[in-house]
Amino acid sequence: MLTSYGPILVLIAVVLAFAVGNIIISELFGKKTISIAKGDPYECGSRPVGGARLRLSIHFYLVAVLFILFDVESLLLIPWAVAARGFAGAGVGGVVFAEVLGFVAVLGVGLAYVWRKGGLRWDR
Amino acid sequence: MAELLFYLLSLGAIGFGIGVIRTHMPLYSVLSLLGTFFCLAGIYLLAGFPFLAATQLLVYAGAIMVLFLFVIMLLNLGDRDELNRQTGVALSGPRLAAAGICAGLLGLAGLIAAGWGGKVTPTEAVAAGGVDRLNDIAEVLFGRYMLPFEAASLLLLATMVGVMSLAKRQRGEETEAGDTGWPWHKGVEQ
Amino acid sequence: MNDYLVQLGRIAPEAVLTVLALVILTWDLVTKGRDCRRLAYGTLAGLGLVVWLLCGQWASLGETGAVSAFGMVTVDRFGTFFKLFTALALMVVVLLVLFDRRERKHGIGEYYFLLIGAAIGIFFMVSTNNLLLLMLGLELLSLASYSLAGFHKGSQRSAEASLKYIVFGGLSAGIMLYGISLLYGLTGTIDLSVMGRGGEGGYPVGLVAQFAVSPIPVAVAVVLVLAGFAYKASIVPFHFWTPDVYEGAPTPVTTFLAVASKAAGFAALLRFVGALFLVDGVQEAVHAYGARIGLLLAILSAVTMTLGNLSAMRQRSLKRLLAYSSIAHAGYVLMGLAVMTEAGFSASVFYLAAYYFMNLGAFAFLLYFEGETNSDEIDSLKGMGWRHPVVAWAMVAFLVSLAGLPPTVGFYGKLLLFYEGVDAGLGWLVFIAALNSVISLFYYFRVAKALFLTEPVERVPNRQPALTGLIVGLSVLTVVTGIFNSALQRWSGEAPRALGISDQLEEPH
Repeated sequence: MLTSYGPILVLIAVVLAFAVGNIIISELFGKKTISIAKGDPYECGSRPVGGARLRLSIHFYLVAVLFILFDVESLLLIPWAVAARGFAGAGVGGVVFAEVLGFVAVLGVGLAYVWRKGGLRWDR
Repeated sequence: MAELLFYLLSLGAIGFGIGVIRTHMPLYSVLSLLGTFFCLAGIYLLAGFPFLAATQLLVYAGAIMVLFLFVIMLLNLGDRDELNRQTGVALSGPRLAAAGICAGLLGLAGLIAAGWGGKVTPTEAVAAGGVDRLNDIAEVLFGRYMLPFEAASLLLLATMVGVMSLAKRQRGEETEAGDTGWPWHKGVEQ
Repeated sequence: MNDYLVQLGRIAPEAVLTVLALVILTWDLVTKGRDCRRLAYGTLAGLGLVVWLLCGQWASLGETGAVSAFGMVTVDRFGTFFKLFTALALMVVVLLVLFDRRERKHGIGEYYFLLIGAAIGIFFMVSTNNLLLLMLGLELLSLASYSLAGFHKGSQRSAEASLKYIVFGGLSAGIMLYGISLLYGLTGTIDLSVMGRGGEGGYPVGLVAQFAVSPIPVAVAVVLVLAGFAYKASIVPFHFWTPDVYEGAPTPVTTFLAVASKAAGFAALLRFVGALFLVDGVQEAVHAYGARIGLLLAILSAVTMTLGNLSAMRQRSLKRLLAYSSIAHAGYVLMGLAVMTEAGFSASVFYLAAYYFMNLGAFAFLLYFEGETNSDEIDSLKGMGWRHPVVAWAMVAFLVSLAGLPPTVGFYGKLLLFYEGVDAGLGWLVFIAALNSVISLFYYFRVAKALFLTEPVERVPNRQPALTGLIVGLSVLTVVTGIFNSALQRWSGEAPRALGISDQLEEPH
């Protein structure tokens, strides 16, 4: 059973090798010039003004949290997607559909709430 | 072969875990945590739980790591050693207490592993390898565990509303400049 | 299908609360945050319906009847008792939100939704033997409470309260889940009743049978789960979040946390201990093991009482004083648990019911007082007794009840607990509790002194009639139940009796 995951291991190894290999090769074989001008921070040709740290909007955090919540919702719906035909065959399809409908409806109210309150809009 | 993989992954998980607390840049901590998650997902795969491994990667390595990164970005965390220099405590009472508790817990875990206090035999459920075919999970999730499934939806909804009420400035809240906003009415008839 | 509907009917209160929560949220969305008074009235109406349904359930269940819904929720008198009190307490809290003068009057739809959500979590917590549903209910209660504690966004104390609550809460939820997973690994089941008596054929293994084989892992697992419950119920050494969170959160939220959330934690703890260590009909090993847990609980009780009372003595703020006093009361309730008999549990349940009245009233007074003077320092209370005599005398009634003096319900509750303690041989604990009651007299009467023993100021007409009415009603209840409490005693006696046999349920579908 474990050998069926062999290809994934190979994929991970190849991806890692490619990414790391590129960096190592460019380090070893790339041309390196060090000059004063090259050491300056780049901002499209003009001189940079102000520090590098900005005050960031809390909206980033909000988006991440909402993503987690809806991610978990879709994760809980995956088993139903896979087994729905089997449930229909066993005669309980309607009951299970009602359960899932309830689940999605509750979270649909949540989505409507977030939408209406401007959680999906980026201000500032 | 599976045993070797298990030891490798466990060592990886522990190593990355130590890396989370020992490194001095917050971003390196986050990357070490990512390594821990991958090792754990591998261990779940070895134990025969592919759905759990996929869940681990999707939710933890996918969503929660992003949250960590955003928080680090928002808080503008810098070098830990620099923070320590500012606050001036490297080896203080609370840290010693925390270290002591961790050492105690590790000792207890080691003793249990060595069988002191009685042998723990794996119960039949664990020995059987667990239920993980998606069909079986669906059968259990929508059959016996229907109520927890619906309760989980309520939990997610409450979290959504809670986060929005904490993070978003809403329309009912316009205040004059300079007003912190609380208390809204200073005890006077409105 | 028919059977399905019957089972759904058994969880009608939870279903009604869920629908109520969704309706409130949608209503708030549709009216764009205006009309929050109507939302409050709608919430009260919905809660009234839930109370009516619960009374119906109480009546239809026999003294020891227990039915199961979906194999997860156990509808018995124990759960219904706590659900009733939670629903009534929530009605009082919603009234407090309505009467809170310092709260904005629009845009607080989430306040009501989160309170109802927390109540749904409590309903699941107190009426399930399944550790998974217990955890989900606990988390629902916790998450709603985190958001409620931080509801006042402009206030630094509120944000600090929410942050501390989240950090401590997340940590203890993790610890408790770890304990639950260990229990599952050791016994093979997450149903408490099956864990208590063991399945047929030796699998799933009963907890006590497993303890005979491997005592240390079982002990560790049980202690970890108890730690999670201790966090919710503010028992030392997991009480560190309580003073800061209670002080920073909005006062109605503090009321909810101090009353409903804490009692829910205790109810779940009672069910956990009762199902695992008080199973009747199992061998002697249960009683020997149960005695050890009892000793642990007794020590925790003594430490909690003492620390709560000693810390309360030094508080300048009435809100923080009430927070520490609630920690001390958790210690008293734990005493009834430590006795590990059904009568002891019954005394705990009675004291919890008494605690509901007293604390609801004390916090309602705090809200009144904050509305008047915009501060919660005890020094600002000076002379208020002469300006607002009705409310001040009601507060004196609550203080007397909290301190445990006759003729209030607090006195009778403590009497029951002391009696059970002495009866079970925990005389040293009863002595410590009595000593603590005397200590608590000091700080409770400091508040009363500030109210009355300062020079009288000219009377200002009362400006909060509705809140005054509520406070007076609660105080009358406190004193009256102190004298005529046979009904409450009977009900709180029946509740734990339902625990003893709630393992024998009809088979789930």
